[in-house]
Amino acid sequence: MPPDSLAPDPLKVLRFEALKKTLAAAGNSGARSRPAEVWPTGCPSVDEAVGGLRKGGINEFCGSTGSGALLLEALLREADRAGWYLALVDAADAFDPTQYAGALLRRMLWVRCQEARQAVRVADLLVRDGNLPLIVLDLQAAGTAGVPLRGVPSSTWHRYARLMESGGGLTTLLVLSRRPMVEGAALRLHCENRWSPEGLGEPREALAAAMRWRFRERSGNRWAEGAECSA
Amino acid sequence: MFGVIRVPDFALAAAMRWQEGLPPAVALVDPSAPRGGVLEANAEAARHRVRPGLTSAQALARCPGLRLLLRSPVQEEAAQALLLECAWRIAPGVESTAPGVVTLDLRSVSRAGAWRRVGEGVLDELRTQGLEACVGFGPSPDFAFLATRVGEPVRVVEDGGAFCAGLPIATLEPEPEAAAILHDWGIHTVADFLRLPPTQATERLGAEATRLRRRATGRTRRVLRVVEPPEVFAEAFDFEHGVETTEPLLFLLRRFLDSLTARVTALHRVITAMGLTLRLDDGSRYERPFAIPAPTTAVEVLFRTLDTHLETLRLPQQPVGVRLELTTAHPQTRQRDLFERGVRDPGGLGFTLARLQAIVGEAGVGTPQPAETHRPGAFTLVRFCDEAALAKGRPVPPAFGLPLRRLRPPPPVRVKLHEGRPAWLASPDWSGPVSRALGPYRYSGDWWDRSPWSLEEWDVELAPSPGGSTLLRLARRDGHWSVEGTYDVC
Repeated sequence: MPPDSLAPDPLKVLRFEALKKTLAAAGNSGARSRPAEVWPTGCPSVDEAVGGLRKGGINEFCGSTGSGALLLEALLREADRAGWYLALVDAADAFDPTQYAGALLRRMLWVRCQEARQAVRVADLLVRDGNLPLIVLDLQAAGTAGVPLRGVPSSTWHRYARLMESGGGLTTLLVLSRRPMVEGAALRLHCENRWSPEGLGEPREALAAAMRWRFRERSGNRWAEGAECSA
Repeated sequence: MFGVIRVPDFALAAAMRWQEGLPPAVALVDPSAPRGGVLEANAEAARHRVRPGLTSAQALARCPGLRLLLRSPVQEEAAQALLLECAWRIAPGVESTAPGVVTLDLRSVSRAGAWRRVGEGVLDELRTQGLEACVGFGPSPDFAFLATRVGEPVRVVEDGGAFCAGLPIATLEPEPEAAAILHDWGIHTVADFLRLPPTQATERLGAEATRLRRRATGRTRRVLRVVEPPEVFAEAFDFEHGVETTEPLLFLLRRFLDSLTARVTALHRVITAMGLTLRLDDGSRYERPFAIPAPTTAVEVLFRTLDTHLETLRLPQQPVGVRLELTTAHPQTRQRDLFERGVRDPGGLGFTLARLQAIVGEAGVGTPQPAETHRPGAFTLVRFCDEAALAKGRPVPPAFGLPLRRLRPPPPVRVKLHEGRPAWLASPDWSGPVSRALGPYRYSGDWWDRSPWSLEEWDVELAPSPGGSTLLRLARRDGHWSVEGTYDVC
């Protein structure tokens, strides 16, 4: 073999360097730096405090409807950035697509339910299906006006947990509620913000950064209370 | 070289195609005839002297075990489409010559010496689709057609003149009057006819003699009326009686899918959508499109989608006909990004989506997209996992304010104004003084159309209570107030 052929091809070197930069950027963006069992929410204050949602388990968000909508937007941005699909099971058909950029909605399956019991049935099917890695069950709007929040027995959550365990932990469930209602949630996030009309004119990133959280994580049969955190 | 694929007794063969457990003797009757006149009969029925033109009663009297089938134009149409598809796989130019007959222009196809094998392949394929046919090859379309009438499944004619000489004169299909004269003359074969002096034969039989001679000698030249292949694959079946359960429908749909997916796979295409049409007893139709999230040719996936839908379907009338149409496309060739994820089991997801639609309705499942209008809250739902929509990557602009959650339909509310601004709300869900009101935000549109709209919106904060504050969006349309949605409710 002639000696010249041992010299690296400059074009290949450039491509290799570019690939290394891409991989490093992906790692720095958060996708690789976290443990495999958490799901980043895209909300900096949550991700820095607890890493994200517990993958393969039931997570619960408790707070006002405005805070829940901000968390949903953060999840949509994260899904769009990372290339994941997610499902929104909308118990009260309250989601308004015009409030979000169209590009954020490309990876979202929206299921418009008319009552909580229907939403539970839909979520059950999606958990069993196991194709969509994140399922958001939005029960916050149910009960706000004319849509009663009834018909969700506590055994529902245990059934979901068993289904997700038997499915190999590929699906993560996030329940948005205004009061704690999920028994056995792997992670419960409490948001204590109350929003004023001034919040209607501020950038959403600033609003998300202003969210104050308390979290409660289950490890085995014990609950670990987290301290209040904010951005 | 030209080829012809012919299905003998085509209308009867099409009607028999998806029937199970038929007796040996079968005849086709015309439902529009007053006494159900026999149109065609198979060989076993013909052996019992059941012939076209008999009434149904006469046919049953001659052959007590005879099964009468009704003619079905939709099944004939589907069978003709199947013949054409079979032909397009062999020849670029195909003519739909007549019902049950297609002619192939094979002059640009170099298969010299292998025509018999090609013909046997066509027969095997049609047999798997439930059709028995004859295939003929010849140097002209007429010779190829005549080659299908000699009683052999596949006949290759190299020398047209020698082939025709031994045929009965009836294979040339003379006019009845000319056929009777030739019979009286003792002319029974084509060779006998060709030995007649041409001029004298024409003087006695007229132009028919010239036509028969040109056909027998292969001098008829015509341009094939070539048809283009369609993009839609369909099968249909008409029931003789209304269907009361889903079993017969599912049985047929499974057979349809087996047949259609085999045809689609042979063309290296995939199925992107299905259309199910049920013809009901009162003449109306039930139509239902199915979008396939991940284009496929897997019969199980497609069948489960139909099965799930039929499980929950309630119809006002019994179905008397079913049609399944598949829309196909070339397989997706878009390569994903390095970090882009797809769904794990697209077929299973398609099945799940069909079940979700059965629960919440067709308009309740999909991917939302803002509509091209300024009307607040207007959106469209598109098919989930639409690769075309995903390909349109656009930068995401920053957003402002809390996202609104809508109330559908917006509940009415009584609003007390003070200096033109909302000051007090009264409704079953929200009542009390308004501490702050932002607005009005006025919108209007479609004023150039027949359904113009306009509204005035306000963002209001109810006076804080021990439970927390409440931010609402109100709207006023034609003087009537309603709560459009909530920004923040504790």
